[in-house]
Amino acid sequence: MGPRVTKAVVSFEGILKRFPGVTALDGVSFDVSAGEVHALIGENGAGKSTLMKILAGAYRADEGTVRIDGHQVQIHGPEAGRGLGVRMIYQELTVLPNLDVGRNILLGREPTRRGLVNWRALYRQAQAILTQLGLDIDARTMVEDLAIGEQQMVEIARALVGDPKIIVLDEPTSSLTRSEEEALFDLVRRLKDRGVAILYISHRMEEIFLLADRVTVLRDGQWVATKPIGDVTEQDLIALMVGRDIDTSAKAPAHDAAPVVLEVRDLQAGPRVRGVSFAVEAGEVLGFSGLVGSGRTETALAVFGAEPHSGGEILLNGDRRTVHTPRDAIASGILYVPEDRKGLGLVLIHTVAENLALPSLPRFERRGLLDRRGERRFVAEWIEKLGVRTPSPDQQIEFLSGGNQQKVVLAKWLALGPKILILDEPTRGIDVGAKAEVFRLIREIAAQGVAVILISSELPEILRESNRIAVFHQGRIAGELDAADASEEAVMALAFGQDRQPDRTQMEASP
Amino acid sequence: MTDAASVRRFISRSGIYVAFAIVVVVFSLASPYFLTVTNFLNIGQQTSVLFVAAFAMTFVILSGEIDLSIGSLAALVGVVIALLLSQGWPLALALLGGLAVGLVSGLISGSLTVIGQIPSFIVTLGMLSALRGISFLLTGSTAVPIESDAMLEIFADAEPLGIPVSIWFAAGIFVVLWVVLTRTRFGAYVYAVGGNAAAARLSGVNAVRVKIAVFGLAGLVTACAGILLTARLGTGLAEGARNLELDAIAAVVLGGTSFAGGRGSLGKTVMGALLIGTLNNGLTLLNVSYFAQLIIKGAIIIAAVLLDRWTRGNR
Repeated sequence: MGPRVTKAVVSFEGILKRFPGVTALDGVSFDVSAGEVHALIGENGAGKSTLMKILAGAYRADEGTVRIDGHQVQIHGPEAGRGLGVRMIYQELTVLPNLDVGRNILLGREPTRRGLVNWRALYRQAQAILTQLGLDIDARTMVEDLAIGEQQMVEIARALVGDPKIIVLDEPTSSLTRSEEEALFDLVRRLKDRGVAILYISHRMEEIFLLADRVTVLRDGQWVATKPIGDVTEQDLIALMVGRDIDTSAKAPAHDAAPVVLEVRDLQAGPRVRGVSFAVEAGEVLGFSGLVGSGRTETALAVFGAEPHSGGEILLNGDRRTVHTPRDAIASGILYVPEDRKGLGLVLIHTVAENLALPSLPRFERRGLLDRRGERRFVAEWIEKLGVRTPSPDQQIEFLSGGNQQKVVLAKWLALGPKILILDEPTRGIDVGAKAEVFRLIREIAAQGVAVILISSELPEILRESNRIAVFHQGRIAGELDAADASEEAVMALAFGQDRQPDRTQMEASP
Repeated sequence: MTDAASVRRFISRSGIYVAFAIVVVVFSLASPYFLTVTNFLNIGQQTSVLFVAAFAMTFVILSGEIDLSIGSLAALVGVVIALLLSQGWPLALALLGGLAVGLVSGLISGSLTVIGQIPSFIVTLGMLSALRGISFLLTGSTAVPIESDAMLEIFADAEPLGIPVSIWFAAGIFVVLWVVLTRTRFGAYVYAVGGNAAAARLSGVNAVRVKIAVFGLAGLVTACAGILLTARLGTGLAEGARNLELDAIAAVVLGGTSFAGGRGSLGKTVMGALLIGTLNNGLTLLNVSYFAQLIIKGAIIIAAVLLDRWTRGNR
């Protein structure tokens, strides 16, 4: 980490921002030093994004001052922010897939000669930046041909054009694989060594403890604490964020042997599912672990009928079932909560009520017409049961927090009376308090005898919440572990295919 | 700032009513004849075909698709009915024949779009051309007179309770479609598929079948528009109903139904079509030239969408 450099690059002093009806930021003050990775954490709605938008020039503070290098600045618009050395890297990629890497990096800042773009200089400059970052990417590659992780590197490379003083990274790892994460962390450390200040927004405790020098916690628009990372524990940070203690260490209750509900034999689907077999018992939580692309999600999609399978059997309570479409699966009581909540789990432009009732509509049909009153009662009942916080059932679901959106997704399935519930990264993008609630719900669901399959990339989460863990490696289950005595290392070893045949033979054996 | 926001909210909720009110006030001041019962019945009668076509379009747009073949289809349905009648078919069978043409054409567009995975814009652009061609081939581009006084009486000339029959038909079709859209599972699925087809599928909705059914229904409803139009003209015209699809799209969008699908209603479309009909009527009363009318209509459509953007922006 080296000696602490104390020169403040950016200082926030008493920042206050009001929106009609709410105070988004209420007197927030802290500073970020050169060569520092400063983590900014807080639940959704704590004010992180608002603060970042003020720094980027998208909003203007109602009160308070922002200083850059000690000078009070007024940031009018993103270009002004850029000119002052502020760079934002948002969760959603903003690179243009239809252009090559070089043109993306220097977009809007193309070197020119006599009014025309000097292409040769452009690619030379872009390549120089890529090299500086230690990236092995050719500036002439089309961005769409890069992996997501590499695209994000290009995004960061773009931030380095000009003279960046502070780079804000907003949930940068949310769509990265493990190895891409490692590359990103290396990059962050390299930027830090060059004296760039880094403001790092993340929900993931692991990476905060890995990368950050200091951490600032916001809660409900207020500054709560700024501390050196060495002075706090994960539990401390959670307590500071939530304002109360949340126990994240208690393991899921043990599972007693019960009849097998779902059995899958030698399932084959597409290139990523190459003979997967497993069984889940009633009331059991079976974790699916493995690297991104190892076949976990693809297996779930095939079992749910969302993707076709080319071989294997799906048995429900010992009977073979034909599952070709999600409708077939739903009819058999197999339900799936997708990872991409906004893209696949919900119709964002519709209301809470419409989303919640969608799969249950057949039961409200009376002689071809819908019993709208019964439907409304049903919706109200489930909103109540799962504690969905929404101003009204007719609120557009897009405007609910991630945690409440996820509760609606869960409610719409629970209302159908599932036998098997498959949850794909159910806590992604959800803040700590809501995560705990989602897991409490999952435990309740399992306790009612539902067989639960939990897919998660977060090892502590999967070790804590599962009874048994199936670890995927290259389209097969490399091994199963009893969660009671499994370690993160044991799971990772299986996920990386250690103590097995080398990968090559598996690749060749596949069709 | 709060005032501007509340004005925005008011306009976004009731913008079409405001626009309609302004148009009515302006025309009433400009022409003493405009604000009379007779004239409004006139507007209703002149707009009834557009109403029905726009209802068809509302379903298609709500489901996230588009149907450009509506005008050509309405003309073809009229031509087919006129020809069947001239062959001596009884009226009821000829009408059924026309409805069947509408249904089949819609199912073809729907299947090509969903199963063939061709954007509906392209599919129905092709249908627009092909159906028009069939009409011309069938008639040799001459007008085919309707040889059934009953048809003219039932679908054009009758005035039950003093109100032109075409208005009754448009209203009846509205009620039926409104029930389908708001009170049936199919209606809920139309919204879901238009809002997010992938999420609807994962929720157990058979998105393929819903979309094909939407096109089939739209074809059937368009056939109804074709019947009303043909009865009013008294002939099956291969070149009839030109640009009907564009007026229908304009009515749907003016009403405020989202062009991206999943959001909107038939009631909104009624207001949109009424606004277009009233503009046509009022501008004609004021002796505005047809060409100038086209420009004014175009400007109003664009202005309405701009207004919509403005009221939605900065949420």
